[in-house]
Amino acid sequence: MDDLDRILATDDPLVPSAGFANRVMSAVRTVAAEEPPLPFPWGRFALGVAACVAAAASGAWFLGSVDAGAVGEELARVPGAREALFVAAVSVSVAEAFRRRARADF
Amino acid sequence: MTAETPGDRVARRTTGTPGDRDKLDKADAALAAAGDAEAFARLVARWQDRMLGLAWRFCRDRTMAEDMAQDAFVRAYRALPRYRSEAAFGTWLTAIALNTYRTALRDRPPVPVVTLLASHAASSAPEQMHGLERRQQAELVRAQVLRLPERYRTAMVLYYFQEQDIAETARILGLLEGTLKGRLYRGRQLLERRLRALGVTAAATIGGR
Repeated sequence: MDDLDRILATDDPLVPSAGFANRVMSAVRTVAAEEPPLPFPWGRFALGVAACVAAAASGAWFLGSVDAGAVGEELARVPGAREALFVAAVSVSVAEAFRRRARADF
Repeated sequence: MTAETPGDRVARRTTGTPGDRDKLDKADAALAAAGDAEAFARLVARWQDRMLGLAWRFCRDRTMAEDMAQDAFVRAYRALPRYRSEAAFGTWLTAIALNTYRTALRDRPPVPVVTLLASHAASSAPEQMHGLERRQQAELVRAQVLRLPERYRTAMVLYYFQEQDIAETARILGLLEGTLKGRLYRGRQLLERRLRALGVTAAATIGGR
C-alpha cells in the first residue's frame, strides 16, 4: 500500500450529530403515514381496451359489408343532400384554416 | 480525531461475524417491511455511521452529509418491500445510498481545496507545521478525487470506503470486476497527473511510489 492508498483509505470518522437517528426516524414515520399512491386502474384499463377492440372490429366489419356506390346513389336521392355536403366541406376547411393560424400564432 | 478505517467502524457497529450481522439486518428488514418502525430504527442505529461516512466522503460537508444520509434511509424504507434477501442487506443499502448521493451531488460545485491558514501556520511549531502540511495534503488529494469525472470518482471513493474490496465494490456498483479495475486504474492515473500538476509529486503523498 503506498501513501496515496493510505490517504484514500483512511479518513477522520464523522460522528452523527445528536438526534440524527431521531430525525431519520421522524422522516421515515412521516413517509409511513403518507397515503399510499393510487394503484393504476388495471380493471378499467382492460375494459377500455376491450371496448376499443370491439369498436374497431365492428367498424371494420361494417365498412366491409357496405357497398359505397349504393350509398352514393341513395344519398343523391335525398333532397338538399349535395348542398348540405358542400356546406359541411366548406365549414371543415374554414375550421382547419383557423386551427392552423391559431397554432402558428401560438 | 484519529484516522479510522471503515472496517474499524463496521467492527465497532455490532459484535459477531458479518454473517450474523447480515442475518440480524435481514430479520429487521423483514419486520420493517411489514410496518415495524422499531425494527427500522435498529437498522438506522446499526448503519448510520456507515451511511454518514460514505456521504461525507462524497461531499465533505457535515450538514449535507447528514441530509443525504437521511434521504438514503428514507429511500431505503420506501424500497424495503422490494428488497430480495439473496443480496446482503449492506450491499443493497449502500447501492441505494450511492444512487441517492450521486443524484444529490449532480449539480453541486466541486469541493473547494482547503488551504493552510496563515495565522495557524505562523503560530505553529515545526513539528505541528509538518502535521498540518500532511493533513492539508491529504485533504487536497481527497478534494482532487471528488473533482474526477463521475465514473472514476464513484469507483474510487467506494473502493477505498469498502476497504479496497474489488468484489463487493463491483457488486454495489453493478459492474464486472474487470470494468471496475479499469475505472480504478484510469481514475488513479488521472488523479496522479492532476496532483503532479498541482506540485504534489515530490511530497510524501505520491512520492513513495
